[in-house]
Amino acid sequence: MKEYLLIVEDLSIQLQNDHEEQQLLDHVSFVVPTGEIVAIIGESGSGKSITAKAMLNLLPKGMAISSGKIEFNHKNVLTMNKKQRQFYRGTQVGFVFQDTSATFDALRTIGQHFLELFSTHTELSKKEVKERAIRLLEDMQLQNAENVYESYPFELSGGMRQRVQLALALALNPLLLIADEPTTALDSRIQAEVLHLIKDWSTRTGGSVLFITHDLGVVAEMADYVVVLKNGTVVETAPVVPLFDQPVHEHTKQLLHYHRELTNIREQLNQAVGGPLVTVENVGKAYFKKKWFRKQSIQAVRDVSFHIQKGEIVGLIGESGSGKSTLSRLLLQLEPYEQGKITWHGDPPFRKGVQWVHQDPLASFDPRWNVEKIVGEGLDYWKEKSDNKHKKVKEVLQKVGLHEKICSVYPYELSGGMKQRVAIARALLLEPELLILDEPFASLDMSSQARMLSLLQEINKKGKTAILFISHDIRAAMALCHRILVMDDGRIVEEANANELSSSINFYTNCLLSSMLTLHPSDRIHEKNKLGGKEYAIQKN
Amino acid sequence: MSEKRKWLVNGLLCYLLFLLLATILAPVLTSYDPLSIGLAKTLQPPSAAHLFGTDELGRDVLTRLLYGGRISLTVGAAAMIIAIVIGAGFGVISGFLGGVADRIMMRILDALLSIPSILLMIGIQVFIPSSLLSVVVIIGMTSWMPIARLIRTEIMSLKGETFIQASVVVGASSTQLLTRHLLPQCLPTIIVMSISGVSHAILSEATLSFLGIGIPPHEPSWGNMLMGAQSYLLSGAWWIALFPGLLITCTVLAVTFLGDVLQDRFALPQIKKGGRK
Repeated sequence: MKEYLLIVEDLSIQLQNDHEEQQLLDHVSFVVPTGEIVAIIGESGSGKSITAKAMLNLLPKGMAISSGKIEFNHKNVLTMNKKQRQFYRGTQVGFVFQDTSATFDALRTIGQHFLELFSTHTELSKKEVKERAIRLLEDMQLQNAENVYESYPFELSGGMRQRVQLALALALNPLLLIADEPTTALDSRIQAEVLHLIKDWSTRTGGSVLFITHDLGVVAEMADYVVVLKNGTVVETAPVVPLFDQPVHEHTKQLLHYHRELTNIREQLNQAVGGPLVTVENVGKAYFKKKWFRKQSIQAVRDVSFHIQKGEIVGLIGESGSGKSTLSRLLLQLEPYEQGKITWHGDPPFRKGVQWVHQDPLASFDPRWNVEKIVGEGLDYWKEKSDNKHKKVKEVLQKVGLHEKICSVYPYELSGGMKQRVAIARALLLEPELLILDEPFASLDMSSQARMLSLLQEINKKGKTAILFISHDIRAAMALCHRILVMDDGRIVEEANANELSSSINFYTNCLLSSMLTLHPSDRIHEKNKLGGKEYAIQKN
Repeated sequence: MSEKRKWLVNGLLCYLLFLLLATILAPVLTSYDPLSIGLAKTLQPPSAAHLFGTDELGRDVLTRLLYGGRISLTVGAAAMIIAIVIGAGFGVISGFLGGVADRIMMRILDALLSIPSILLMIGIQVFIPSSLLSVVVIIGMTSWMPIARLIRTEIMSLKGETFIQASVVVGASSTQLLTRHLLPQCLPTIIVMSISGVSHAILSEATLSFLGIGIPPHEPSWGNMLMGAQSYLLSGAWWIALFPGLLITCTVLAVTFLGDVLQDRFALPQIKKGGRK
């Protein structure tokens, strides 16, 4: 019989405030067996983050557990006294969250974080703490662990911070690791590495993992068991392979369908080639930083040349810092460039012909304006009659799948997917020939991503609008684009059709390709040897 | 807005409105002349005939307060308008242009700010004979600098926002950016600054008049009356000093509170509705 480390039974959580009472979790039950990785998957709003917080007894104010039991290692978590709870949270359970900037104290070095942790729960000396911490950081494959130990959080990149967070979570050899979307904000290569580290840890020490995610790719890569959550209820629980092969519940089937759509590689090439639209020739851009008497230059884009055809979807793939966002700003003429030439072959004036959807749509809306004003803004600058304006705004909202009712709504009240649609509507209103989308999938869950994907394809087909899709997600680009440009360190290192990219011989492209998550759990390359791992752990003890 | 807050706001507004009406209707409310001297009844304590008493020259204090209110409020409003127009204009131009122009304009501002404003006021007074107009102009000219600096900083930070760039992409020109996005965003700051500017100007006028270089002494203003009162305070004529002092304090307080309330009124929609940002 299997040992269960964590047993959750009939857990219900209610949100209570002055105005409303809302059931967030409704009789949720699941188990985490010792040494296994259990993934909770659900859309945003399904209650998966609340579940993670409840495991730690860290529910925000106003939320209360109304029924149920959480049992960890045969002890009831909910009835623990203060001291037991501190022991439980600190040493028996480790946790990592998505937002690394919020989990660190910005005024303390990484070392001080370790010191605080060890001094609360152990009696190690300062020197021993440093040794242990550096060993842990090295385990997380951080180069220059000593430097990292002395650094402040802001000096580290997002991927490094996530690894440090993981090192902190695993520092006291917990039995259970709770990870709430730990890789969602990371580039795909770093995501693969972090997932690997978590999996490695589980294999090595026999620790269990409760993994919370919205991405079935992560589930396929990581999980042994899957709990599917929808609107606060568990709709399906199954081992990972049967879940992918024979899903039972409609919601699971739907999620799998989205997953397939998003990972499908586009075979069909651009048929409606109508001549060149934009030609970029040898463009370079450097930023200057003044440092006392000398100027330091950072070359963001180096000698880049490519072209976009009319009606084509082009993907621009690269990791953060590769210069893809800078390149998009040059294309939009938001910044001047020093070298090279960008030529526009389209009909209308350039300003109107190239439109932009920013990766953070909320930041790109004037906070005092409602949806109608935001979407219609472009018309004011291009001499349109005002009675026509309302009609046009309604039309374009319909085109992106939004109801005209939201005209008077302020954007902060909308969901992530709707905000993205409003931003696309604003861009489409001017009937551009080129639409530049900067990481349009970044903040969306899978169903919104899938819907966005088909919306973009439709826009491309109907309006013959060319799209430049900027992303770090090579798989999404392969699903959407006709042609893909791979960018690294300011250069375009590869250009290929979407269906040819997988047979690329470029080293960097192959790095990106190999970091893609597996499609199906049975394809895992790094299948862990459970028995071996457990034996190792026993020997170690 | 909570109930308590509403009462406070209504009270403040009533007070200010009452003050305004009283000063406008001064000739109707009192039959005395603020300037006529009655040596027979100097330094009389408050009585039925003279509700707030009389001053050292036998003038009715209530009457002088009402007429003085006209001057104090006029100075407050007019000087504030001058300061806001110059300050906001300077700040917007400097922040929007950026670069070299901004650097030069900010150095000019630093130079002006380094001179104590009271010194500047006294210095200018040497060349211009004191009158209502000169006091207004002087106060206005010496109090726009902090406003300019604040507005400039605000414009600078707004300029880098993504939604400004998004407007550029849909085709907004520089003037359109300024009138449609930047200025409306700055409006709450401008309004709050102008309200606190009013109280600052009222205080400045009182200070100048108290020093004897503001409004000509025979004309009543709250600051003037305070100055006249100082030598009689020790001899027990408290009413000459108390009433103008109280009025200055209450009015400045009321205007400042109102500024706070207005700041909330002009907050972003999500803050107003109590939603998340």
